[in-house]
Amino acid sequence: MLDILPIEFKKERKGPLVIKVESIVKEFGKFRVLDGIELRVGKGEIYGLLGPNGAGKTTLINILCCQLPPTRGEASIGGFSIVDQKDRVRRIIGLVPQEVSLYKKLTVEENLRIMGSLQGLRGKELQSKIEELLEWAGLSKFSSRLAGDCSVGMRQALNIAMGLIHSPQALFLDEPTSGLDPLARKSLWELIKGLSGRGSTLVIATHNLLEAEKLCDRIGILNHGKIAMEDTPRQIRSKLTEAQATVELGEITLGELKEAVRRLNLEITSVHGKAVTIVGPEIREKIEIIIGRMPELKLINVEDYNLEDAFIKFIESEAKR
Amino acid sequence: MKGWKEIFIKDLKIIGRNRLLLTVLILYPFVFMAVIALTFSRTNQPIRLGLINYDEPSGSVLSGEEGTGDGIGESVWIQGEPYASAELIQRFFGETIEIKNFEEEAAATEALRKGRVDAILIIPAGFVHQLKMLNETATAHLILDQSNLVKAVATETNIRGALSVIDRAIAENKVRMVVEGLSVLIDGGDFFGHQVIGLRDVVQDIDAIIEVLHDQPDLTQKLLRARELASSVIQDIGEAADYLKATAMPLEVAVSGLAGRELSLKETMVPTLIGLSTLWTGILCASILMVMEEEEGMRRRLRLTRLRSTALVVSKSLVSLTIIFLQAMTMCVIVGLIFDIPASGILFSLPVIAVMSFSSIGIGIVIAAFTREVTSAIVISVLIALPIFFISGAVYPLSQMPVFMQILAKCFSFTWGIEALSGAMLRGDPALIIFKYSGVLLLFGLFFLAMGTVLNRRLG
Repeated sequence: MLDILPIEFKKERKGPLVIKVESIVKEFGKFRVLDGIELRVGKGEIYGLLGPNGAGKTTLINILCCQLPPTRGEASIGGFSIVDQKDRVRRIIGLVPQEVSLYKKLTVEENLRIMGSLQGLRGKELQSKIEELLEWAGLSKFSSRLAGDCSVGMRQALNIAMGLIHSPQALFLDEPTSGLDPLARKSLWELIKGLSGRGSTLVIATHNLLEAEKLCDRIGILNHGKIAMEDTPRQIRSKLTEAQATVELGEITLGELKEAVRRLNLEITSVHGKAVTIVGPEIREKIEIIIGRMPELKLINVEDYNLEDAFIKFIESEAKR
Repeated sequence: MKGWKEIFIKDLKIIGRNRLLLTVLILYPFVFMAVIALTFSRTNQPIRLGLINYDEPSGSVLSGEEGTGDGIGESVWIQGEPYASAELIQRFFGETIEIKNFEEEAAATEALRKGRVDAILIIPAGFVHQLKMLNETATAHLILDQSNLVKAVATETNIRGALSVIDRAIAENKVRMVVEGLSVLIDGGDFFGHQVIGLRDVVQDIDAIIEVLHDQPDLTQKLLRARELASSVIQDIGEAADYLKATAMPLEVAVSGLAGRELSLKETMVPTLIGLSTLWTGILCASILMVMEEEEGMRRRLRLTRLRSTALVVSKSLVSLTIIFLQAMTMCVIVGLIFDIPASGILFSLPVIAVMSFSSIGIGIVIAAFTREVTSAIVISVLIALPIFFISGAVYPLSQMPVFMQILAKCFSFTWGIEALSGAMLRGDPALIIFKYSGVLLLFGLFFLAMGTVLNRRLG
């Protein structure tokens, strides 16, 4: 029998633990934004915080970056508490804010230099780090250009480079590609993927499912202040994605098909003459089982739901629950 | 206090590359200074007075001492010269008042409304005749444009000043005439058209009679009493003449400034200008530089660096202080070269500017704690700076304001700053007084800076 009951999601992480979040609660007055968040992120892992606007992604990042104290709960980064050891935490993390944050009237290099200086880098160490990041971000040719004169994509690349100047153990990126055109977004995704290869731990807040799927090793879906689902993008996709199958009844009666569909926890959504549309989780496998049992049925097609539609459906079902 | 130097250098670079900041923070105070200087550069221009002279005989250009016989067009003798009303006004109003003659009041009023003249003076018929009479006073009617009070007051003061010169000349003339008449009573001669024998001649005659009647003691005794009375009257008349001179023109005013220099309207603007530049640049520079970090999204990033809120406030304050000082020094050098302000006054004003800057910068940092955008910071800064400026006594004398406004004004550091700068530059106040003002300013500065730092840490 097929396991079609709610799935126990696997919570795997890659390397040694870098970010550990335990029962974080954040309230603004009577409004609870985060409600007992639990999170573990390993070294070199890219963790995606996925969720609709207002889900609490930025608040969680602000708490982890010591910009906002939690109301309750504890978290540690690199073994340092974000509540009691803020200064130590600040030294080992980097932040790429949602809005491009840089000095528009300073050159690309000057922006990197001042961030490096403020992080305590000096002399050759600072210079070599600047050159390395300029190279990495593809900005070497534009080092003397004012940041305000750069393209949006270049500015976003600089925005990330500024968060990396002190080689942080953990980098938090808040909606890193919002407002970018598809080309610039793709180019930025490559840059971000490259960071993981260097051993950096990344937490990316996004509401872009495709971005999360392309970039992240694991995804946590944040909704109404809670991690509603957490798994690898592939698993998440398979859980969220429903398909619809259309079959031709042939000699089978609609009543017989309805009974078979009900047993496999599927649903008939429309009937047009002999053509019947069936939806439900893991439709491909289940429809094969039904056809195996009722060979008179003729499969017309199996069509995937749009991933985003499925995500929206999930969020809406969570809200109803 | 790590990181303040980096922010200090960065801010100076950004200001140098940002046209808006360059204009608002560095150039604007100089533009303002130039505007004020140009505005007051015409202070020696004459006041334009519309004159309607009903004392001028119609159709007659010449005017005689006797006039037309109906009291119009008569002349008055002053310092040996005859003056009819028009000549009198022309002669004694001098270069400070430019006269434009009008035939009718309607035309003159229209000119006043349109700003072609600053005031209208109506000379009534028989004006000079009344001036000449010992038992009459003459009245001239002055019409002012009250829509601009400063202009109206300045015009009235100038015209009253010019009229007082005529008043004094006429009074001198009348007193001279009376004194001369009294002298005639003593020495004999023409007494307002009548030939009279002087009292001295009377005394001499009495002496001659006494010699003739020396053998008649009763008569001699009576004559001696009459002689004594005549001598006493001569002495009394002399004293009365002196008394008359003193009482008719009792007041002579010699004006000079506290620092022993002549008054100059332009000079009085110097502390105001330097104070205003300190206030403007301090509030705007500090608030803009702080808010700029927020607006560019850098505040979140900076919190992850070694830079602490206090170091951020210190660096922004130092940038603002540097700009204020460079501006103030330049202004001091310019005004020092133009005006007769002593070097010691300028030297004393520098510590005042420094402590005054602290409170302006502090206010700017407090504003920054409540704003997230540069444009909001500019608007709020201007909204706060303007009332502080107007209440300070820099524009209108503090002593002339209602008592509660005077008390309120003392609550603002700028008021103390203007007092201190005026003391240092214009009044020549001793160092101790300047230091007292500076102490108060320092307290204000420390209060606002501390408040700004705390608020930015909490709200930023």
